[in-house]
This record gives sequence, structure tokens and C-alpha cells, in this order.
Amino acid sequence: MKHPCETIQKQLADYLEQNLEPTAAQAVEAHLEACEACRAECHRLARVPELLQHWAPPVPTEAIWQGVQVRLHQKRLFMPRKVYALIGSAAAVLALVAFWQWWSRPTPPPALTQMDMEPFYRAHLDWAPHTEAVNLHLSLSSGGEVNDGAR
Amino acid sequence: MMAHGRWWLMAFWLSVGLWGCQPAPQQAGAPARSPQEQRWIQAILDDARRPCTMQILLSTGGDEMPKVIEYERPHPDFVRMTERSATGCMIGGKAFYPTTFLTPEKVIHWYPSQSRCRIVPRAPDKAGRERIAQLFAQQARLRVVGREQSQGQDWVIVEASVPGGFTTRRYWIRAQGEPQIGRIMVRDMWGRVMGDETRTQIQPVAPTAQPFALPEPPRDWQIERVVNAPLTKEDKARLKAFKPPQGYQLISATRRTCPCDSKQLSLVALYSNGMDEFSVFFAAPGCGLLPASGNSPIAGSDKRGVVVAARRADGWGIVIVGEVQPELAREAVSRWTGKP
Repeated sequence: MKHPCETIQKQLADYLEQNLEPTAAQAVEAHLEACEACRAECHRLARVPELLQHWAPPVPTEAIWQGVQVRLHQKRLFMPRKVYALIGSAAAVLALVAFWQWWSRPTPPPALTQMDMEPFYRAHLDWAPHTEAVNLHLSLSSGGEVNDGAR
Repeated sequence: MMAHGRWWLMAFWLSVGLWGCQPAPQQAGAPARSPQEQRWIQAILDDARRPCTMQILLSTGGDEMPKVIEYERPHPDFVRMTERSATGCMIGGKAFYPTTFLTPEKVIHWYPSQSRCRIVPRAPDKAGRERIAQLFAQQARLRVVGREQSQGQDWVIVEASVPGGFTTRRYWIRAQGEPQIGRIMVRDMWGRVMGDETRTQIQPVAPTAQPFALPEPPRDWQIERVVNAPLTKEDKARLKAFKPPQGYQLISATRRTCPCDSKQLSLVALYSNGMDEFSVFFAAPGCGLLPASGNSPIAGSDKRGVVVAARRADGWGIVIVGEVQPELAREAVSRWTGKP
């Protein structure tokens, strides 16, 4: 069984900030009237909000920041080796996959500028045109008609 | 022990990564089609047959300027395509526009600015064209890649490709009413645009029995005729020895004027997978365009497709040209020549 003063003093902060239920607040007031020690504690606590109004948070000095950075660096240095191994493995795998994709990418054969296969293209398009305009046009252009653009 | 464990872990992730890089395995057999897909397939096939007139804005990729084309199909087997090029406009307008006439039997290219026309027997024949349509219906894989609003209509963009093929074609299919193709964009296996045709002013027309009269070329014009001849027994044997890449089938074969411009004829065969077409030329030893027999096959590509050529020790040469993956073409050439 807790001492009544202990219970009341735990509720004092809420009492002063008017956060207690009315019945609980009445119980605290009844105890304060009877108990001098709790009354004194209540007076001390009542000054805290007033003091806080005049308080400004301290600005950390340059030395404090440097200390924080040194400690962060030390923390990084002491990361477990397993983590480094895992990161290294993942990076190596990713690099290999990227290299594989680059290496195995499909590339078209060279353009026909150095080959004299043009007549075969023309013959193919003559022989096998779709009815689509694209193929008919290519067939027409392959026949040597002057084109508007570079070909 | 820990170090070994780490390497196993690395090896595992490496294999997982590399496995992910491999292309998806090809599905065998014809795909199951939903009713919607069947409608799209039919719309794509009808697109090459429906009598209509339209204007086409055509871009063939690269640095060539887009062209405006007046396209008339008064009958499923007849087409008149007039290209309104900047050159034709500058020279003198309509009388100088290059034109293609397509009939069931021949293709006529008309070059007024050069006083020249070229007449080519059309192949494949009607049965061959139907076979290509059948292959498309059987082998093409469709997937919806987007939706769009343009020309005041809603379009669904459907991409078609054939496993192991060379091109992917995107069709803009009208979403409401009767499905109709408003645009076709063709890309090769490396993603390069081979052609992009946007249709406007599409007007269906009633088919006519007398579609149009073919023009007579003026007397002073130069006329080029490609000659066709039936296959010989040796040609048939040569053709039988050629094994096309998987998915492609023989559509048509004939003997015709060799592209090298010599007087000889060469055997030429057309193969299709329903969407991509390539030709195989079997050229007699007299053909001067082919590489020497000791040389390795030569290969090249441009926006019209791929070409691979080689010559055998006996002087006969083979050229594969058109829409086929270069590796598959090389393999087919190697199989025929017996050289790696």
C-alpha cells in the first residue's frame, strides 16, 4: 500500500496543469489542506512553468559538435565486418549483373554502307511487299526515286 | 568456414541475377485467344483487304522527311498509292508524284520524275497471301500497351509480335464501333522505328469489279521488267536443302532476274512467320555481288531488315534478306553452306 503523500505528489504536476478529473483534483486539494509537506512541494512545482518561460535552450559550442562528429566516425569504424562483407558482395553482384547485361545486349549488324547488297533488298521488297503503306513505300523508294531526305 | 559461406552467398545471388537476365522461354503452340483478341486479329487482317481511301502520314525513321500518301484500295486486290513527296511537289505537282499500282498479278512502280517504270510480277500469289494471314492468326502474340485519344476517337494500342521474329508492330485499333486501324508503328528487334503510318480521312468504299485502269507508260519512258520462270528440278532440290529458322514457313518460290543485273536467273524463295518476311536468293556462280567462297558470311542491317550472304565452294551463293534475326539467318546460311 503506497503512502498517500507519494500518490498525491505524483499527481501534483497534472493538478497544476489542470489535467486531473474533478474528483481527483478535489482529493488532491483536500490532502494539500491537511499535509504541510505536500503543500510545500506543490508551491515548489508551481514555480516551474514560470521559470521555464524565462529559460532559453543553450546553443552547443563548436567543441561539442566536433566531439559528436568524432564519436560518429568512431561508431562507423566499428561497424561489424559482416556488414562490410555483405555490402561488398551485393555491390560485386550488382556490378557483375550490370556488366553481363551490357555485354550480352543485342546489337544490330553494321550498316550496309560497305556492302553492295542493296540490289537484294530492292529485289526482296519488290517480291514480298505487304499491302501496308510502309513496305510499299520502301519498295518504291528502293527503286531509285529521288528522296527528300538523306538515305 | 565463414568466408566459404560468404562466397556461396555471392554465387547464389550472382546466379539469381544472371538467371533474371535470360529472355523468357518461348511458348510453344498457338496462343489461346479471348474473343477480344480474336476481334483485334480480324481487324488487323481486314485492314489489308478492306476497300477504302485514306491519307497516310508516313515516317520511315532516320532523317528522311515524312511523306503524305494518298492511298486508294477500291478492291481487296488492287491498290493505288501516290506519294506526295516534296521533290514531286517542287518539280510540278501531281503529274510527278511517284506511284505504286498493286494488282493481283503485278506491282508497278511509276517514277514520272525519271521517266521510268518498273514492272514486277507480284509474289506471293493469293493463296500465299492467305497462308501468311493464317500464320499471323496462329502465331502472333498480342498485348495491350496503352490507350489513346486522337482524331476525336478512343484507340486501344495493341502490340503484336511472333516468338523468334524480327519486328514488333503496334496497332492503334478504334475502341468503339467496328474495330479499325488508325496507325501502325513497326520496330525492329533493336527497337528502331522501321515505319510509322498514321491514317487520316479513312473512307470505306464499295468494292468495284473494275478497280482502275493501269496507265500506259509513255513511249520514251524506260521500262524495267523483272522476269519470272518456273522452278527446275535442281531448284526444288536446292530449296529442300534449306532449313528456315523456327516459326517461318515457305510461302512462295520462283526463278527470277538475278539482282546482280547479269542476264542469269536466280532462285528466290519467300518465307514468313505471319508477320515478318524474308527472301532467300540462291545465286548461280555467275553472280558478282556475293562474297568469294573462302570468305566468311557477310552481314548487315538497315531499316528494311537484315542481310546475310555467303558463297559455297561450288560457287553457288546464298543471300538471306528481310525481317529475320541475324543470328538465325547466320545459322540457316551456315547449315546450307556447311561452313561455320
